[in-house]
Amino acid sequence: MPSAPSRPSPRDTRVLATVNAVPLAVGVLLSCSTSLGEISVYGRLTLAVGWALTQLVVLIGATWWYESRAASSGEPASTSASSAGGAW
Amino acid sequence: MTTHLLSVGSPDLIGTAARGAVISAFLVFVGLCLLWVFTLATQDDDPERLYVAGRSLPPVFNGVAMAGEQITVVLLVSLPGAIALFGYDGVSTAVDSALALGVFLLLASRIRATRRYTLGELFSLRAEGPGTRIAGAVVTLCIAVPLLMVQLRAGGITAALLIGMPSERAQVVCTVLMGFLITCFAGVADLRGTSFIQAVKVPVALATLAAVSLLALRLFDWSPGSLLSAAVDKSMSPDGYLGPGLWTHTAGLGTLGTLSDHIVVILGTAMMPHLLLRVSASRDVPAARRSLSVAVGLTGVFYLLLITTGFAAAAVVGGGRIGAVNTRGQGAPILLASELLPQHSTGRVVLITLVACVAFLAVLTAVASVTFAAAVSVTRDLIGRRGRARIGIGEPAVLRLSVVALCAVSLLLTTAVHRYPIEFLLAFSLSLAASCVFPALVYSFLWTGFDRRGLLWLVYGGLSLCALLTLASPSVSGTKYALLPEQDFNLFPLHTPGLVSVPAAFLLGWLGSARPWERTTRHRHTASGPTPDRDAPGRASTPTGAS
Repeated sequence: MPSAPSRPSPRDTRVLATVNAVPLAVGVLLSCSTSLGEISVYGRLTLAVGWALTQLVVLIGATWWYESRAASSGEPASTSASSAGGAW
Repeated sequence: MTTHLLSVGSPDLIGTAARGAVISAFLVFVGLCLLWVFTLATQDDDPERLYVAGRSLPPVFNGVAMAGEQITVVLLVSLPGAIALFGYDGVSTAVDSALALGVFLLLASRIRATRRYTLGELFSLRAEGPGTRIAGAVVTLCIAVPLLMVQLRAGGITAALLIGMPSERAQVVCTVLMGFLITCFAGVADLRGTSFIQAVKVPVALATLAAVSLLALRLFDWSPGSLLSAAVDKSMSPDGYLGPGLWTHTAGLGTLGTLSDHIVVILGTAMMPHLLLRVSASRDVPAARRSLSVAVGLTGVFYLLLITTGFAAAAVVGGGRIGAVNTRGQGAPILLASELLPQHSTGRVVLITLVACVAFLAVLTAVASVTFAAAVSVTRDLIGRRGRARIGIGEPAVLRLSVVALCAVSLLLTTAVHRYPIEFLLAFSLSLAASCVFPALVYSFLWTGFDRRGLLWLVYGGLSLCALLTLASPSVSGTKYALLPEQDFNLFPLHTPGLVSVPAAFLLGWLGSARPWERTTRHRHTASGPTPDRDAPGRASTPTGAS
């Protein structure tokens, strides 16, 4: 049985990319800077480790949001499938 | 070989009392696995059903199997060790590996929409022909063989640690035995068969890691803060443990080396050929996206548990002891499992056996998946229909022979170089995927002007750059941890070439396709008279499958 027709809007895709790209950029910055990364945020937990864990949580949350948006959208599924690759 | 013989003369890693029971239970599990594997063997001759399970895998099942593709033995044993030894730098690699699936999620719908599943077929989107198909197969093989070598090596080291004989000879014997078992599995299974094993591996791995994490937290009165404090105190460098720069790879190379590592891990992990094959097993585009979403969720949980296990290993076992058993920390999960429960308890035996079984499942599935994807590429892209007609054997037989040949070559190479540290080959594979596959797919999907010449320049240029820069890097010579520590020809200061090779591959693809110098020449000719049509011979083609 085919899946229910659903496709995320380009806006949702942009939101997903941005929501993950911004924390990634900050994470890269923290991994490059020892003085920033070693700032203590809670007990012995540093900013670098706390941010890395946040990135993981954001990835899971954003993907769940993206999927639920796509599943609830009424747009038709992508039908741009073309040739099966053929053979030579 | 009896468990008694296996235990003779072994150092006390998991304890002599527990070792016999652990090894017995482990061997029973391996036997059951192989029996199950042979029930999954397929006699199907339909290539589409062999390669992509007839594009019929349900989204959630395929998503769980896709998450299983991420749970490799290298990650399972090396990452907790890296976190235990190098703290934040290991955590950063784990997070990058998880983010890679996010990148793949953005491209997966387009890949599935093309209905193509080998790199050669995807490369042919803008330029059909044997040249592009062969380029795809060459890149697939160059990614797969080093990856197989590292996985087999990690599997051998883990098995040797488990039986309490971490000597070089024992590691080679374990690698060869494990390689034979995996070749048997890979030789008979199809994508549906490997999917079943992957789908079983994921809950077993997550449950085992969760049990290890909870038992470690119990030792610290259920306080994550206390566990983290103990990890810092018992690490090799408490001052910088939770900050960046402890890993020898990043020390002294500054920001550029770290940036390069991020690029390689994120883009390389996302563009592995076996993931491309896996996403094509979905029923349609929405099912592919849903599978990826399930995979991202499960993989995220896996990495969170792996990070906890790494810190728990540092807190319970201590960085010094982990480093003494294996300089790369690959013994960390087994050492941790052996110290969480009282010495003579049954629970301890069960826990160590579970960790060993997960490691075996991880090496079995990781090697089988990579080999299968590479063999599909050899069958469809390298040999092709004409080649198969010439040698007079059918597609399934060519696939099976390719699987066995790839396993044999990888095993032979792994055994031949067992004295050398080959872990840098993992970074090489990831660099190739990031430099050759990612730019080629981005151009193929998003730029109508991308053509055959651009593709070939990009692929072979990226491949050559990766190989040359890796050869001239500190991973190969000039440092204590290099492949050839006594030689010194490291002219390129970064451990991974991604910072240079990825932008260079994009540039080569653009130069080869746009050919700005021809435009200049044409402008000159237009000013003086008619010009030959640059598009006529060998120029590009309309995309046949771009979405």
